[in-house]
Amino acid sequence: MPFISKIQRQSDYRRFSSNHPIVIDNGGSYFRIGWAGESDPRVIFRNIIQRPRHKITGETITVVGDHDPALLKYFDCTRSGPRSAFDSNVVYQFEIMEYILDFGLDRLGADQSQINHPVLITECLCNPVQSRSKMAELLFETYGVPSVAFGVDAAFSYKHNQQLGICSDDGLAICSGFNTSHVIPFLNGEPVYEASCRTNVGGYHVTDYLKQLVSLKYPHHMSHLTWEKVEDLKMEHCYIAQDYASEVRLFQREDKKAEEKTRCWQLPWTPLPVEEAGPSEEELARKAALKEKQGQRLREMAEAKRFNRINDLENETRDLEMLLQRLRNATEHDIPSILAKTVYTSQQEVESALSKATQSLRKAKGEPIESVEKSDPSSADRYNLISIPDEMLTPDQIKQKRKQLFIKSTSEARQQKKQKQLEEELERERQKKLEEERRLENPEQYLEELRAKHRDLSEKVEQRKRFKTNGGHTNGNQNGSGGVGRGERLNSSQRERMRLLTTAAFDRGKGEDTFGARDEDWQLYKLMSKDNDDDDDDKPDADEAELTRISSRLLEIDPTFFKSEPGGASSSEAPRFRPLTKEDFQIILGVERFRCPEILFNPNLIGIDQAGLDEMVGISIRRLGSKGGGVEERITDSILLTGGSCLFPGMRERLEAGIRMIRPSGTAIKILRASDPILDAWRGASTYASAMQFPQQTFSRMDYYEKGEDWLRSYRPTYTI
Amino acid sequence: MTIGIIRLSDIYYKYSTGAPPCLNPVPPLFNVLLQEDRSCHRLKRYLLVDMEAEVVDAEMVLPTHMRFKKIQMYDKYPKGQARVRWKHLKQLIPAENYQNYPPEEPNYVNIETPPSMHPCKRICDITGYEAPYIDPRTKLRYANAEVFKVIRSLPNEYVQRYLTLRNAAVVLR
Repeated sequence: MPFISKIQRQSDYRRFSSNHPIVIDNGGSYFRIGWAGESDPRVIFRNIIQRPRHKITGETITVVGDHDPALLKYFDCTRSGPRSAFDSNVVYQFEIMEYILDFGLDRLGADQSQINHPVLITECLCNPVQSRSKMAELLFETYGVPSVAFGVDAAFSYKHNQQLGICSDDGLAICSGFNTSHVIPFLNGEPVYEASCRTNVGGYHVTDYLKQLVSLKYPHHMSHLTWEKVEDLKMEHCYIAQDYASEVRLFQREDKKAEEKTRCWQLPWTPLPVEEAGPSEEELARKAALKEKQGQRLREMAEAKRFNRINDLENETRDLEMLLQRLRNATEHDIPSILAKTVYTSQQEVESALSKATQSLRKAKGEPIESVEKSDPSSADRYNLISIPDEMLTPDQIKQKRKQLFIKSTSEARQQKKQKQLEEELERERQKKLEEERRLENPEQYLEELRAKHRDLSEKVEQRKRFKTNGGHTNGNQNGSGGVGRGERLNSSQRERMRLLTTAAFDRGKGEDTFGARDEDWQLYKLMSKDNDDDDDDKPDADEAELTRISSRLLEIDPTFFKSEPGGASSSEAPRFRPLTKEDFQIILGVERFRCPEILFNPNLIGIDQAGLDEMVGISIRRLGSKGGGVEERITDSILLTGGSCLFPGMRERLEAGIRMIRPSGTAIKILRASDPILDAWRGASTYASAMQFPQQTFSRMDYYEKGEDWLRSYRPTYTI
Repeated sequence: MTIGIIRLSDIYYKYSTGAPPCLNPVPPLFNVLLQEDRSCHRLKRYLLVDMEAEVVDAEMVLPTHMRFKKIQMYDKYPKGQARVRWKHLKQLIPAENYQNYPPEEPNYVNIETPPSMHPCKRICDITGYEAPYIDPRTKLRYANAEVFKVIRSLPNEYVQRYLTLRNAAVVLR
């Protein structure tokens, strides 16, 4: 059924006399309105509204039914999805209902000051009186309808098919609609409400289930899975399995038949333009040349800069030397006058500046710098004061001595460290050589060992990581520690901290308080402090370092080794690391094809604790019990299937098998498909409203206000007129 | 004042039913009249609005004024929407007072189908196969070891969504 239909406004409204009834089938998915006695409704549209805002003016407007989605670009639909007036199968939102009636009547061509026609409108079985009275009120007060009749859609459908000779006077209607499914027995052409039953499962649930399942299976194609599209998929592909268990086993065994039953929906996909094998030699050479040229330029620039710096420094040293010369030659008296012209205050300062300048000059020229340690021979007199006892020194000298001591110890430490580094380097070199030897000796075994080591280490590191960030995105799965359930929020160190805090809070005060007697007690506070738990993140730990070493080694020597990304790409995302192919844009419907409609027979699958269609028939016949007077024996001889959800292929056969299991053997069972399961309700109502006795089934505004709500509660039309 | 409004709504009605939108801009007389009447405020805004020609042609916007109605939408819901929240079915049912009526009388509640007599079918939440096992951690049903692997690699959000499908998710309120 097309969702989008530009509905023409009917032009012959005035042709109908004022007592000609208007017939409305107010269904959960579609609203159908037309004239009594005609064979088809004039206007059909989806029973939903949308209230987006116009982007330019900011005006909230109302859109009823479906329209060209392209036109919705002028509206801001972000905060207003499609809305329905129904809660389950009961109308509760009469503001929406009014918009829908407005639209329906407008398209029917109504243009007088009020709707001067009786209205027959369908409602659900045993509609709550509040809903019924609100609907009556709306029709009377707002539209000025003279009289109203309510009826049940399934009953009209049964009556219609009865007139067509498809089903008989006594029978059973199975009506699986959009929100609910009903089984209604008929005796002498009248529905028996007392023996009816309703399960709150319908086409809506099937579509929703399919939509959820497919979007969980293909999360990255969510945008393609609109409600309308999934509804189309459902109508095109879904079927009812004769036996769910055996059907699903076909798929589990990956049987040939299952393969045939699998449907594939190819999403729009344009292959990426195939890249050439790579840039040509010429191109590569050109690029290299360009790179080289740029590098050359940079090098030149750096060279020029260095040259300038050397020049500057040379000038400076020359100046300083000249200054020093002059200072040495000058008399004591002249020194201040010479220095006054410079920024220096004493000869020493000039000297130190000179030495600094010469050092940086050397550095700039790339000559090795004389380190401080080079002046080792002078160490004896540099540390001349150390060996002399304090008593023999002046306070000034003591200060000097302390300084010397400090310098000496630091320089020694530095040297020791250097030594150690050198040794380590040597050791590493040695080990490398050793390893290399071993590798050359038996490359296979070596590689194997290395791999095993890598595996062990990476596992260890992973585990530690997981331990640290417990829970996380993989909901703490596949960790070996066990016993960590979902919903665990703290990682191990945080948990340890919490434990310490609680023991600290509750253990104090009972027994003797010995806290603080030992020095280790105070360590507790260190552990408790908040920044304690992440300090081990800062220093790279030995295992990780070893792991990186081994993996780099493996990368070198093992062509099959590749470094696995930590965590790995999650399965919910489209694979990113390889080019997307046609297969990535396919939606495969296998088990889903019959798993979704299966909920009509097993509502338990979606958590609705009610019996399915086949059992409903048994329940209905049981409820008929004493009233039936033996008719239940032959009631199964005329079972009518109606409603949109009865269109699934295989429905009839499955129902027949199911009912045969319930009924005693030998019972005649005949299941009949309605002539048009979707439109029959309206057609039946149309015939009903055009009957001579129809006016007796309606009630007027006067009746409504005189008789009151209690009367409306027990209002029930006679279907056989 | 009302004279102007009636005539304006006629014009508006014509406008909304596809007559060429030549009535923009509105003659000044109407403007003045309308500005003095609050109930027609929305109407006036409509008239002055320039909706895109395509939108007007498709007639997708439901007019706020319908000639055949005795009470117009903007009179009923001057704020643009109902002031009260409509009672959902859950709230409607208790107010029906079904307990005051004989139990054999059919009503919305007692015609509901009772739970099934058959044992509940257990199917794998992911694949739909028959599911002999339940994962104690996620409470998902699964068919075999492969599916189990998939379940264990599922993010929590997906686990919850699968559980919601059969109304078994833990809802924290």
